[in-house]
Amino acid sequence: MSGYQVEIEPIKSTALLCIRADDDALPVLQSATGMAYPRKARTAAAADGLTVLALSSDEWLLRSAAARESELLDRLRDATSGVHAAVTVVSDHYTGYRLRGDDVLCVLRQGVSLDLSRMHTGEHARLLFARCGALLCCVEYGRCYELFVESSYADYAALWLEVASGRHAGPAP
Amino acid sequence: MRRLASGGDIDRNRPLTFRFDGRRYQGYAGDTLASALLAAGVDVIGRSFKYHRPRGILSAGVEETNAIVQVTAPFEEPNVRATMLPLVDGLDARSVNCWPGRRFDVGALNGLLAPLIPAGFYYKTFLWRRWDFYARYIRRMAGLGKTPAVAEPGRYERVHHHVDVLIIGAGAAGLAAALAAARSGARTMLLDDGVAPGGQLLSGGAQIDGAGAANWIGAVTAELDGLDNATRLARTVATGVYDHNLVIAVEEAPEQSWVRERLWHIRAARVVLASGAVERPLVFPDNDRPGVMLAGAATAYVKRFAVAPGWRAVYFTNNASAYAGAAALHDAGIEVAAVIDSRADPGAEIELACSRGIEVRTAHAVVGVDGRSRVRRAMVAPLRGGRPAPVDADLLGVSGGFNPLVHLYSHTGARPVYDDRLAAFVPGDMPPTLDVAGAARGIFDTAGVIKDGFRAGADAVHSLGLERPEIDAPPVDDGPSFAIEPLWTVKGGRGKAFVDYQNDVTLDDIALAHRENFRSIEHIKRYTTAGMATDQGKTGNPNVIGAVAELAGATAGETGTTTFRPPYRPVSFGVIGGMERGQLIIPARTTPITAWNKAHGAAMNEAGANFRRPFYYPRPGESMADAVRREALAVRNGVGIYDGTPLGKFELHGRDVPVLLELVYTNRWHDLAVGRGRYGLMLREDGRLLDDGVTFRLDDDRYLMSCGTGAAFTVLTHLERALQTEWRHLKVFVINVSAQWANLCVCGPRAREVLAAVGTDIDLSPTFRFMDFRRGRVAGVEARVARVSYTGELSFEVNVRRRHAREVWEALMAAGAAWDITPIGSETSGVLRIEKGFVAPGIEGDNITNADDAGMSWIVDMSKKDFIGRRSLERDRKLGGERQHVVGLLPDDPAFVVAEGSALLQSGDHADTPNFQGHVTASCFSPTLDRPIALALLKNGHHRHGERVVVSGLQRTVGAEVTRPVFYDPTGARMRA
Repeated sequence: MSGYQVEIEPIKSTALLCIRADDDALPVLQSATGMAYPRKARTAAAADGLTVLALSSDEWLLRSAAARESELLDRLRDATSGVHAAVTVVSDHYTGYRLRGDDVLCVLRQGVSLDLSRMHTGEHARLLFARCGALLCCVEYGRCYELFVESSYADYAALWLEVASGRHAGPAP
Repeated sequence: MRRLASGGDIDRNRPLTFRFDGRRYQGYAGDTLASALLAAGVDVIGRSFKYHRPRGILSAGVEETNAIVQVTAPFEEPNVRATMLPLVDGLDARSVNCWPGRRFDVGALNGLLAPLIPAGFYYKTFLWRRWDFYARYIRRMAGLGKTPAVAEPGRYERVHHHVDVLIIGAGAAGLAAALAAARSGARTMLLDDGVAPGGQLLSGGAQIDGAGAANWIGAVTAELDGLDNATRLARTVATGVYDHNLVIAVEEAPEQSWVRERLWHIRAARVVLASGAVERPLVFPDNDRPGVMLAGAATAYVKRFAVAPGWRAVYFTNNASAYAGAAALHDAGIEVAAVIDSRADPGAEIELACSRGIEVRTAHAVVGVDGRSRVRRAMVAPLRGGRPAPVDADLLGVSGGFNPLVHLYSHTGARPVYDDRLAAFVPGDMPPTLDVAGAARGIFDTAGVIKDGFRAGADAVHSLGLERPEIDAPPVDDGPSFAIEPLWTVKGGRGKAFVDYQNDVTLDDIALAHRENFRSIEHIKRYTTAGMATDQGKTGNPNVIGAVAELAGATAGETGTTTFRPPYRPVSFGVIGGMERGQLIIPARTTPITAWNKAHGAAMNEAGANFRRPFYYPRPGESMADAVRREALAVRNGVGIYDGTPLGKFELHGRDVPVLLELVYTNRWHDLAVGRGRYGLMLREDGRLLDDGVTFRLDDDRYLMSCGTGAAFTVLTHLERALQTEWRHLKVFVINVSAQWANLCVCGPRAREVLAAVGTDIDLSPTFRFMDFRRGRVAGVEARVARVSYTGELSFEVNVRRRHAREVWEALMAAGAAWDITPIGSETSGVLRIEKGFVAPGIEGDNITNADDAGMSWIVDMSKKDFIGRRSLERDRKLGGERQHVVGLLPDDPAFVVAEGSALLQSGDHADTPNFQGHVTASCFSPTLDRPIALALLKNGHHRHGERVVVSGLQRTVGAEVTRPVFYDPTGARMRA
């Protein structure tokens, strides 16, 4: 056998909205999307095809199907007029990869210094991946993860994952 | 041949073929290269570092100092210890530091030159003239191996791992500690540098729980392997312990066949160091001859590898342990001629020899060795003095006591202390989250070691809040207890007595250092290089300390020990680099246009923040200068296009954005209208240039700020820090959209026509003013278009979502074909910048330049109450004095482009005196002006326009006229067109 048992594929058709809001604006956003936003670090909430990831005390990443991007943007911007909040489309700012397989942790632990055994299904973390910033989401512990990097690092991350997974014979070209 | 007929942990059904110095040999699976060479009767493995003396095998472990080889197959690697290299079929290794061969080596002449190359000769001779000439030859003669000439084809891996308890060393103490930790449920990791766990138990004679130690080892490892919370790694060496229990370890030949070595970054809540102890040799004349071997190693070769390291042995010891070794060899059928014990009254251990009929000479010492390439006779004399008597032998087993391996303990900054009882340095105060167990702590009896291992494992988990496991240590039947009387040096004889084998340091070297008044052990270490070789003084250090103590009339404890630093053993560069080779050595950031650029022959380079950008676009037959000239003239006279996507881009939301902008920029912002942009200059708190850029107002409370590519992260951090720590009351959010938007800049007098031709619903008429911002569709794609210019020409920056960038770029190229639209690279952008005299904070701003120095006082509004850098700028102004200012330069030679970084000197009468005036910051040949131009920082430069300076570069020196820094379109009419 050569290489780890892991499949790596780009994540397509996903809309990403960066939401920043202070405490007063949060209820407005929650009402507009019909769901409670997570407040605890590294946790997420999901409802009605939307997933909201808590990135910091005043920042969330809203994830949905790509087709809903405009509608969500308009709805949230309308809802937050008059409160201190920012809703910004960042779907192109990030490029995502889904890693799935028995050896997924063998690949990830090469680029992530975080204790991945403490990251459970449904949790996520912003971290340094190899030499670029990233958002790592645990879809299924030990089996499936999603990794988002700034799109300017997408080619680098793709090559890195190819080499780290052992698919590339020998070192990086 | 020296292979015993039976015994050992080798697999005689799996013969392996290998080569050493081109000659073919055979060994067995389970052998190391050292055991296989010993079995084959190879005595000399290589030559020593300085005197090129023949050297054999001293040890059976990581402490090996002599048997260093260069492996050439299956991979090439220098500096490999033959004692730690498992034999594999096809292994090819060579001896080192010898020519033409290890048996006859020209370099051995160094031995005759010894009086000329004593300790410290490097320091003395490198004071001579032309040291650089002869240093080459000295370096060529020294060294233990050669750097591989070809790139390593294998793959290395670096991984991060987290555990509750990390145990280093899988000997008796380590196994016990791991069992205790793992049984409690803690995430436990056990590392060992050997192929098989067990450490000294593998070659010792201890009976555990009524059976051989192998049974106990097997039971413990089986239990550990069955626990999900325990990880066990073989052939893994912890090379360093760093702050917060970060342990770096190298795993050789991992299970994954495609990985050559793996570097582990292990973060452990608790570390238990069970690295054991190594035997040390005794210091007597010619104590380095092949056939002189550590007593315990001789036993290991017999018991583990079924190899007789010699057929007639003499043992020389100052402690009890060697007797068990002598007995073991005797029991294996090897003749043991005598045990030479420096002690006058050995303990019960003497029975091990006497009961086997082995002669014991107490209060005696080996004072010399006959035999050059192999021990032939040991010269034995009473310690009180007397005529030496020869004892025939081809193996001299030596034991000068044991050195607890405190290296990793010392990495934490802790200091070992001397233990008189053991004549060894042992751990002193323990760091709060690290413990030492077993022989590494100075416990040398097997029962005590196992008990201490259980204690350390239990303590570790207890300190983590877990329940302390109750484990009963098994009964152990061990040999005689350890007892030692130090014997640091044996005087007399004519041969060299080595205290450090690997760096060829002798007793004479130590004595010389002492005569030259070196007293501190740290100074003596550096002067003689004792303990500075790749073995880190594992075997030799205490003997050096003992020798120094004798010379100084002090005790070893008073003399103290040196400091051990990582790595614990040599680490390959390959595993340090890991995956970061080739294209992964640094991230190559790309834009949606990168692939197009490469496909169209752009010469790519790194242009800030790891972005790969087109440098220029050479056409067939064009030089770089030709291409840059063509591209620059296209922008000045027609139309060009470049990919500005790498620029930093941030959306600022909130009612207080204008307040923030007033505070972070030097100019006014409160009156910026929606749809308009403004150039801003950002200063650091010390008033120096931080960055510049244009910010547009998108809506009432939404702004888009751009900044330099290289400064993007710094600016984002600067803004967030201000908002999160200084002005928490401001209602502003900053969102990084640098990669969300691609920025395609069409620039030049024909830019408007190109944009119209590609198709847009944006009104491009002159009502679309410089610094205006409009939304619309370009080439059928939603776009944000801004009138900004970094080239000094009419320009439109077309911002589209990243996903659309390539199609819009190609549409612009197609639409612009009618005007011969020309893509331009970063080198051309630089030329256009210099022509315009646009100050770049990352270039003219040298961490000293302030806004006034840069000629940017026009954008500083000191009537504002505050902005970052205001106070410092005001201070600079009040201090006055001579500062360097940005100026332009017109070199006299119309064909010579002065080098960036060239010094500016005063011209005229001062030309021959030191009179540094400044330096060139940016320089080019201006296609527009058809002459070389430059920007520079010059002392008091604003007041020296029209003066002359001398530009002194590496290539040549030319005169130049100081001018204003703006060479082209000083009123800016063209970019406002």
